[in-house]
Amino acid sequence: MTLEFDHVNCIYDAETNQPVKALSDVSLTIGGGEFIGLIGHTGSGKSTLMQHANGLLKPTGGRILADGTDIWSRDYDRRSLRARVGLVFQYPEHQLFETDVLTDVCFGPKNLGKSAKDAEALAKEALEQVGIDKSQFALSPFELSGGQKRRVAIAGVLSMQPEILILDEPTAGLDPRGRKEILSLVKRLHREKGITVVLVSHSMEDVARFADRILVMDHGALLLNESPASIFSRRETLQQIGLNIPETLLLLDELRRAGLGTDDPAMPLTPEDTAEVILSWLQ
Amino acid sequence: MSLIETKGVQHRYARRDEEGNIIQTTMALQKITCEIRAGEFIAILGHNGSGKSTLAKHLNALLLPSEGAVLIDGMDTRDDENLWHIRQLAGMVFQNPDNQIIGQIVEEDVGFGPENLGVPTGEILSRVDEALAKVDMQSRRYSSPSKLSGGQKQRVSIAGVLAMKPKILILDEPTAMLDPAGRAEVLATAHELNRRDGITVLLITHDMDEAAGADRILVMDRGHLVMSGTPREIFARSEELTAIGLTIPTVTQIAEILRAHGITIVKTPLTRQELTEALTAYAFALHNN
Repeated sequence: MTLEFDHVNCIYDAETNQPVKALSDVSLTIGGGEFIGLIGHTGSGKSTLMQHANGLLKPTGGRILADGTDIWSRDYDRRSLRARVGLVFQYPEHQLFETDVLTDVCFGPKNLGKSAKDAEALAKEALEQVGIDKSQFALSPFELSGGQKRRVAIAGVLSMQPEILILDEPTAGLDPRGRKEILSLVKRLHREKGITVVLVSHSMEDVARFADRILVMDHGALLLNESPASIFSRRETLQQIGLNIPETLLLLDELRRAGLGTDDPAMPLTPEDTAEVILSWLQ
Repeated sequence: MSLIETKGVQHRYARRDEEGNIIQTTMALQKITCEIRAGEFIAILGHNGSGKSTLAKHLNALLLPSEGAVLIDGMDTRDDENLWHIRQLAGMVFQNPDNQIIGQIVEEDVGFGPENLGVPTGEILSRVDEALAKVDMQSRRYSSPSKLSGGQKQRVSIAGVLAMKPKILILDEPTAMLDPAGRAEVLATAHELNRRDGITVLLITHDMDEAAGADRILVMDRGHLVMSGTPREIFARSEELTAIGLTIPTVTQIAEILRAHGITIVKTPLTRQELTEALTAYAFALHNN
């Protein structure tokens, strides 16, 4: 499915004397099995944007179209939209509430009107996709490790078979191994299931390695909407709005300043690729 | 004498059934023995569930050892009479800024600790002044905490600890929920307090670059203290770190790959600047041969 934001505005506290413009004339398209990164500092409007994408918030101006239909038109089925556009919030494990893992993941599909049997089949499939073993289905969610809890929470959204999956800071608070596990899980879901993924993050590194396209938000506006390579050629703009530049690129910049590099615009993001560039420079 | 001393500390968590019978026990800390000197900046690394936070909570008597002892400035945390003194000496800031701010305005939040101790009003106000100045938040003294950024909230939380006139500041993943600008603010504040005011800082983190700035790193794994050393010593042991779910700073990783390709890098670099210097030296030597 394709979601289109058409000049979307969102103003909080419009009736007060201090209205806050959380989204300012945002136009963009999400869909087509792309892997999209969404970055911006705290308060830049990322979360507000996400909540508009599946109809949790209503724009105060502009339209949001799902496959061409305005999701706020009178007869539009927003309940099914919420299943098709799956939202994984920050620290999603805080929202686990059932007595066991399987029942928790069944909640979504049951809520969509699936029979108990169908819901269970979908839940089992989703748990398998996130790498939770059958032997853990009957455990209390609270007996799992942090990384496992988060994967169960993601399964809770996957069980509703979304076509677009939006994850808000899915690696926050995890150790390096946990981060890697979650990111490779997201990458695998994207590749194997063809789901459109929107990865919301503070970390340019996480986003840049996987995304086909990066959206940069600042003060409620969509500042950039480009390929990672094009985004990284604007390092000064990014720094001005408080975003971090991948360490690998900063290192190459510093080596160039020290007269050790060439002006080739290489933009490696992994240590291996960066070492390769440096080796070519030293030869 | 060390400011913080742990001697063979064990901590057992018990799981109980509905009747309160113990059905399982987990050893969260296993014979932890370490000493921390006054004025050190310590980073504690470890995977999720390795016991980092459990250890930190022993240092201000939020948790007591099942076996062994924790001495803070010579005082045993198991001795009830020391409790208030220890809590005043060792203050803690947690991950989520929204869970630890209670005041309606910044000033009130920072003054809460000393007020609770029965410090006279005049002195509370001067402590609040001083604490806010140390974290550079004087201008927000009368703001509502809800209007602050994440980094500012964490600085207010740190000021709340400083108002108690502590010797030890324990930061449990204080930057995990912050964006890069907020992270940088909080980290700079912690280093400033350490350098300028001599406060001993313990920083629990998953961020290897944050840890690289510490005087010493302690590494935890499944309840054990498995390594202790300078960042350069610790990050030279990348294989062991990877095996326990950790990693090393990006620059250090790149240096390792370059070394494997025959590039001479004498000192394990932790920062971009150090690697740049090492490579400049290498290129210079190459040129002169």
